[in-house]
Amino acid sequence: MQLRNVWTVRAMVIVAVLFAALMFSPEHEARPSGISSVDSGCSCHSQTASGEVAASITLANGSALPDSYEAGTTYTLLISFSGGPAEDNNPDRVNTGGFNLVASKGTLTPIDDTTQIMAGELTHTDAGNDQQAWNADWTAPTSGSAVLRLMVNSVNGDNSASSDDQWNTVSYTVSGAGGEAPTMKADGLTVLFSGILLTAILFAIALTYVFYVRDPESFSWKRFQPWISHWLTSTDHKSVGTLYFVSGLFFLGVGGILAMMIRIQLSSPGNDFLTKDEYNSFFTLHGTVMIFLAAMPLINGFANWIVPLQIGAKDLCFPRLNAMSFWLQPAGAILLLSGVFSGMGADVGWTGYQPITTTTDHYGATFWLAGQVLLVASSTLTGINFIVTIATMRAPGMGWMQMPLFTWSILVSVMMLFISIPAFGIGLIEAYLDRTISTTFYNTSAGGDPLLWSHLFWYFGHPEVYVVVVPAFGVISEVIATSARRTVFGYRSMVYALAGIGFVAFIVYGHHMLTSGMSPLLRFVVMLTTMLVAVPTGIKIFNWLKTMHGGSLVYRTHTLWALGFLVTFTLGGISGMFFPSIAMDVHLHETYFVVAHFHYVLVGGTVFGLFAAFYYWYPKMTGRMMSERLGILHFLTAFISYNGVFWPMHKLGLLGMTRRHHTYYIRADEYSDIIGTLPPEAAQWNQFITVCAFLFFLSNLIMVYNIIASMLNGRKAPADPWGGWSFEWLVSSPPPTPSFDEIPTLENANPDHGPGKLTGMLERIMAPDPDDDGEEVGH
Amino acid sequence: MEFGGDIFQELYIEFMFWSVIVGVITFVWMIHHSFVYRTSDGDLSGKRRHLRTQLDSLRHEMKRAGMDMEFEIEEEEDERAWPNVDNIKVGVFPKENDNLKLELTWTIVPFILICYLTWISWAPTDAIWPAAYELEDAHEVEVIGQQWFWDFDCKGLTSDLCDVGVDSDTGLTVLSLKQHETYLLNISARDVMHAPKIVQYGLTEDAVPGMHTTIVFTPYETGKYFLDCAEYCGDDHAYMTAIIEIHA
Repeated sequence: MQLRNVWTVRAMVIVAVLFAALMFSPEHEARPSGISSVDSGCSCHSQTASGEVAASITLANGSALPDSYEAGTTYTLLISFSGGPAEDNNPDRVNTGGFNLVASKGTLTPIDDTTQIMAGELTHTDAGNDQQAWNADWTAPTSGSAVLRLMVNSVNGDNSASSDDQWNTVSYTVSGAGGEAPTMKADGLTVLFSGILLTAILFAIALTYVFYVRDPESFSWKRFQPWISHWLTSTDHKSVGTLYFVSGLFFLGVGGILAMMIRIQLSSPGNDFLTKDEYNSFFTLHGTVMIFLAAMPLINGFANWIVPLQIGAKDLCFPRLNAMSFWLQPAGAILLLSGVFSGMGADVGWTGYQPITTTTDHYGATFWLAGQVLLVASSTLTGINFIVTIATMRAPGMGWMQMPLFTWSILVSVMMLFISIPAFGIGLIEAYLDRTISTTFYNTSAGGDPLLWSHLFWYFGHPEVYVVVVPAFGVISEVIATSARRTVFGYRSMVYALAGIGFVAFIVYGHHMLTSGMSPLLRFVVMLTTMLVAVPTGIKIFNWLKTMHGGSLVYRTHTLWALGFLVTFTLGGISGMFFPSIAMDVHLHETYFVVAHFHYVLVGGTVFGLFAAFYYWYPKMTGRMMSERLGILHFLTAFISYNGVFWPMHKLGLLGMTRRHHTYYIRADEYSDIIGTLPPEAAQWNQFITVCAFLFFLSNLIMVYNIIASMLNGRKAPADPWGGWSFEWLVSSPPPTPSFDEIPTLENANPDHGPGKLTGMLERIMAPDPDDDGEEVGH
Repeated sequence: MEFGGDIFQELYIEFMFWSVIVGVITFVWMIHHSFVYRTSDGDLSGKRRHLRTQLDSLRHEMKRAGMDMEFEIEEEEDERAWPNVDNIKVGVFPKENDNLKLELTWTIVPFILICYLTWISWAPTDAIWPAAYELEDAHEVEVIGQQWFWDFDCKGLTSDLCDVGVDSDTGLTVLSLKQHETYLLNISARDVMHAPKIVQYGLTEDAVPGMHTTIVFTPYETGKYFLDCAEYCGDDHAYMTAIIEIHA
């Protein structure tokens, strides 16, 4: 009791000290001067708006602001105020006042040194602090009505925020060229996500109804409650893995729908299916959703399901931590996407380059940053969990060099993630603070550096793409070896190649910034290291091919996907060799050639690998065989349409079609004599790509159907349907919980050479202390 | 002139050549193996098939001899219906299958190839970023990116060397430059990152706020060339275009 009191008192003292620190800390002056458009930016000059101060905007020539503007015309504005303490009790006429002007459309430009642009808004400078009227240019937009909102401060000049000061605000609406009335229009992204949400809810209701109709008697909360509480609270690695699959597949669909919208927009030049705002949000969320909410959870799903089974462990080392890192994902996803419902989803690209991320007026960007911080936390916890599990919980007999290759690939992948993702987290938090409390990490006018973000981001971003593709390497190694009924060729070189990729990943990120004003020497270094990536990747591809030699290849669906992976990944790898060559990169940078390349690697690599994994481990996970007929249909349709989508993009990129543009220029009409615009056939290629993209999207629904249908009425699966050797085929399908009744021992068909030097060293570091009673060790 | 400029074209052809070679090797290898070493699930291993045939002929012989007798041979339970070259068993780390010489071959050969590719990519970088002393005669033109237009400043050059105007057909800003003169485009940005991209010449460089970057540009053909923004910069990113007109 005494102890608890002490703790309470201590906690209260700490809170009190924090409060005091907050109260007395000097008001930070991140903005050099000027005021912000937020209401509180003016309320430091008294709390409520005062009627004594009158703000006004007129044209500089004295005439009133027009009711409607001419599109694209530049108007010189006279911004002024009268009344208040600036006139009554400010005899020296110093620090008389300030203003802030926001234009909902069009561009505000300072014309002298008394005004400045801060965070997209016009405000006064130090030099413009002693006056009551300012001039600035406003360039009218091309369409739509614009709202000009002005806030002014009338200040008594005593150089402190005093309650004598007064402020007021005024808004002007200037309608568009045709003088049309302002119309309210929902943002496309808001509509789409509302639709997705509504569909999901309706689907859940329909499913509940089906259960009710089937058996109204047993339809009660009492029966439902254990089911739901199992899924919400389970820490079993298999249940958590399944949850990862459900959320991963859902967001794969969401990302896919976003991609379809992007393709409709690009199907013809000058299309207005999406507005440019909407298009920008769509491609941003497509990238973020696909990488962070689809690819990573699906990989985590397989890692959760398969890694403990493969190394002969009953569960992960920290099951509760594992459940937490899953539940951070939907929380992060909801936070990340909730910005969409403000009508302004993040519009910054998945790379979130600065300073556009901190200055964009789309509120969605704030949510986008915050959500990703949660995902960073989730990935860090996953990283710790898997590294520790793989290092300490391998079954007896399984040294480092006897681990199945999928487990090796997960180890390399989480290692990379664990080392790189803190940098990204730091960048995100800095950008988040910039947006919310006006710090100036990325604000150039206050000494910030936008390239800091590029470095932090790509230090993480490049390993990240390997994080998602390396597990696919592991899957393909397992699938090809098992399908060919052979040992994988060159197990050791496979492991060294994986580790090599993991190492090289950290020294190549500079190639994303080759055109960001990098020094020529660094450009050369980055060129060489980037080219080096081809060596370990090449080793892997040739080893896979050699594995098939002398085997007896059985064509199951997963075999087809693995061979498909070999084709697309080789093509993606070859096209990747064009970028490090700087002289070519300056042309290819930010074109569709890049888009084609990374979709060949990320879809043709990661997603095809994940599809192979689905078909390969499905019998193990559900205890049912999947329909091969539907599987082959899925492979054929998806593989062909996939190549139809991304192969022509190489051509478009070479012609100079730039990515992230909501429209493109065709060499016709008034552009017919401008060299460098796209030739007319580019429009046809874009149309072809759009058609193929829809076919690709629809063909993947075959797999979703196959997953559900086979689960309900597939054939029962034996423990080892394909003839693999690792431990997951030892347990029944589906595996019991905990996954092994007793820990198996791995035998070795090779003569025992004893542990190598490195292994011995690692064992000494990683092995638990022999004096330990073993209580804390997870198993 | 083909897209991307002459330097790009030269390198592109060279890289394509090696890409095709690597691609052909990989795909011929893959297709060959996936057809030659294929089998189907019902296929029995050679030994077992031999036993079956012998059993069948024995039955046949006995029937002919009038001996009416049914017999079965108990099959091994764990026998697999496929050839198992490496004797793969669950729970046993399989027999290693490697060949150091082969593995070293496909480590060293690609390494030599990439060294060669790096070497041929190295020389053209001098043409893209010449040393400072080579730029003494270059005319400096300032290119400033702002949401969402390009601002050109001729820095007091004569109107023959450099002029800024408006294109009558498209309404885009035009920067007129002279053929065969070397220009140093001094690039900066006022608000967020942009990147001028002279599409046909294959030149891109980011415009970073608070920093100056450069493009060295020697136009060698006359005409109107498209200037694009290649770094995402907000709403009107796609409309952030201009024309560079080269006159003789």
